[in-house]
Amino acid sequence: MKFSDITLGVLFTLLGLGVLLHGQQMKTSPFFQYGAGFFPSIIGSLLAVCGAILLIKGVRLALAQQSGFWLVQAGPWLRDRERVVNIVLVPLLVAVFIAVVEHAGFLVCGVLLIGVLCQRFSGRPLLSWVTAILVTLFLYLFFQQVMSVQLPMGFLTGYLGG
Amino acid sequence: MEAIINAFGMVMTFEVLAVMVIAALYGLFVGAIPGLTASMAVALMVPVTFFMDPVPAIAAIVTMAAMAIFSGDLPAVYMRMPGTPASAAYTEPCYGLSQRGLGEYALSMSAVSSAIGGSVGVLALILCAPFLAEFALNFSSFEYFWLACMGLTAAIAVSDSSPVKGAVSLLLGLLVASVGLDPVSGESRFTFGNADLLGGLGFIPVIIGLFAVAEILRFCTRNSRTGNSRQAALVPQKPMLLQALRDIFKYKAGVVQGSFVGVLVGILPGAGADVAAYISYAMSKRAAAKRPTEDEINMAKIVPATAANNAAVGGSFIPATVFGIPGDSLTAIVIGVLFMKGLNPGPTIFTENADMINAVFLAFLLANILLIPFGFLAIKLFKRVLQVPQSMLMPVILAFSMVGAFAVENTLFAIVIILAFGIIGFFMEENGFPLAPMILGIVLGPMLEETFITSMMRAQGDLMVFFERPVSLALAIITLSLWMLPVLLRLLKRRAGITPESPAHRKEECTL
Repeated sequence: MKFSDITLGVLFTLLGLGVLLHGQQMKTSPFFQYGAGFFPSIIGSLLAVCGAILLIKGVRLALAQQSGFWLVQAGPWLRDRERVVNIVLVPLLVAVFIAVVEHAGFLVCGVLLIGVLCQRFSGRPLLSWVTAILVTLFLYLFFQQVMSVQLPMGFLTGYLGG
Repeated sequence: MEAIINAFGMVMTFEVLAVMVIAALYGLFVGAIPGLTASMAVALMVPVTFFMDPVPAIAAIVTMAAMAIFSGDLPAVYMRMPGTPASAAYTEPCYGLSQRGLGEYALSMSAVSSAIGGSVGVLALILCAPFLAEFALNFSSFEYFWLACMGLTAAIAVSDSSPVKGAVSLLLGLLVASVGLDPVSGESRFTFGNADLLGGLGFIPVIIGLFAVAEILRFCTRNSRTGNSRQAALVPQKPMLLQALRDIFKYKAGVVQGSFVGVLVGILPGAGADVAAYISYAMSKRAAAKRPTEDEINMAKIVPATAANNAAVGGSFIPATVFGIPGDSLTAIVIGVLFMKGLNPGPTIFTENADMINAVFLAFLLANILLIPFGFLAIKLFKRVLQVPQSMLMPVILAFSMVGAFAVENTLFAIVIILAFGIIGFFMEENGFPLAPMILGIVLGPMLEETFITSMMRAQGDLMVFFERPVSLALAIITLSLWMLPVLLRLLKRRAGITPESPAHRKEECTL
């Protein structure tokens, strides 16, 4: 998904101004000459300037090409339903993982995350689920047992620790 | 001399050598997995080293760090995913070479130049430590401010996209770095009441998101449901390990340049292997352009950068051991281990524990020499990873990235960060924003702010004080020249009658 320089210019100008405004509202300590908002205000100002430059470049380019103004262009992947499902599935599964891992445990969630994605991407169920189980076991052994990282084990905590 | 002989005896034991071999394999494995960084691997290794003697403990860490930084090049070359931030500067040309079957050649050259660069770094550490550390010790916040500015300018210079988009990416990085507690006043910023944000956005989850998760999302846009793409594996790689040993002489000037830049950058606090690679890569761009073929141009840029990032590890140990000042997060952990082992870093370490510290340096040198055989082994073995279809590999990388981020931060919020930055990185790349300036902005942001605010306080708002000290003035002139050069070139070209839209101008801009 491509945004034109005009869209990006407006976006970063607004972001820069937002940061500048937020920086200005930060408290200034009586012990320091420069408050917590001083440096972010400089970043915000520079970001707004860069946004304005992008905006001007975008407008000049649109006028020079006489192709009219455009704001967003859909990439080829947005026209393919399968690819859209894939790209939505990744963040969706990660979000579900975060939401349920403390209750269901890393082992169950890890197998499901890897298994579902492998099957979706490759279309080979057996290989996908064998890979999911082996990789999850490896991650558990390497991080929890060797590296002593306390992975959430959910309902298996009593048996496996974590 | 007696200290060196004693140190040699302490290193050449079965225990130390066995620990180094295991650490080398662990370093190669961790560095080769995108998202798992050398700093993270070292941090996770610290509990293991707690049960070891000082020499094998430090030897394990330095061996692992050298191997991890080299093996970070493996996924960068084959999969366009830098294994460690130190490989981010030259990921694009490396990936391009692997697509033409020259991945093994690029990696072999990288192994040899990394070994040379790393060895130069250690020799500098052994021979020049006191002198160079004394020089760096004289730096004040003014010098550090200009150094940070130079590093950030280099970040924009290495990106091939438009300077405005590079600057936006850099500013976004600085913005990310300013989330959390203000380093000077301790006030919270951009936390919006979220306690997880008080400590700032963790650097490791952010780079895992920007590089690994964004790459997985890009994979989704390339492949539909039955996309059994073996993109990297489909490109046959020419076996060129031995040719690399011969061809390295073609780039000897680059190796020397990279090694010295790496050592010098490594010495400076805040600037580690990644900054050294960026600066060395940017410096070699112009000389590389004179090479006859595209592949040679790319190699002439990659070789100095790979030498620089390994040399920087040695360089960063100079202020770390002599003055106890860490050059980067890696050396900060090493300082902690030295304290844990009763080896207090400082000038006295060379008199009170001369044998021990020399043994550590010797182990470090040995680790760099081992990089060539172990590196070649890793190149051969890593190709087996490519036999796995990317449709299987991508979910596995996602799982490694998630667990890796969780392991470092020990909170599920780290997974939220990798997801958020994965989406940001995906949209940035879709719209031509380079990621490298953002990464450097995140790394150098805190140092830039701290040195800027401290300098402003010392100068009481008078900007001319930034130019008063001789070293500060020299650094300021270099930095300001870097900023002004593109503008001056554009003005000169306009005067010479070359319009900004002409192809000649565009070509020049790309080589800047």
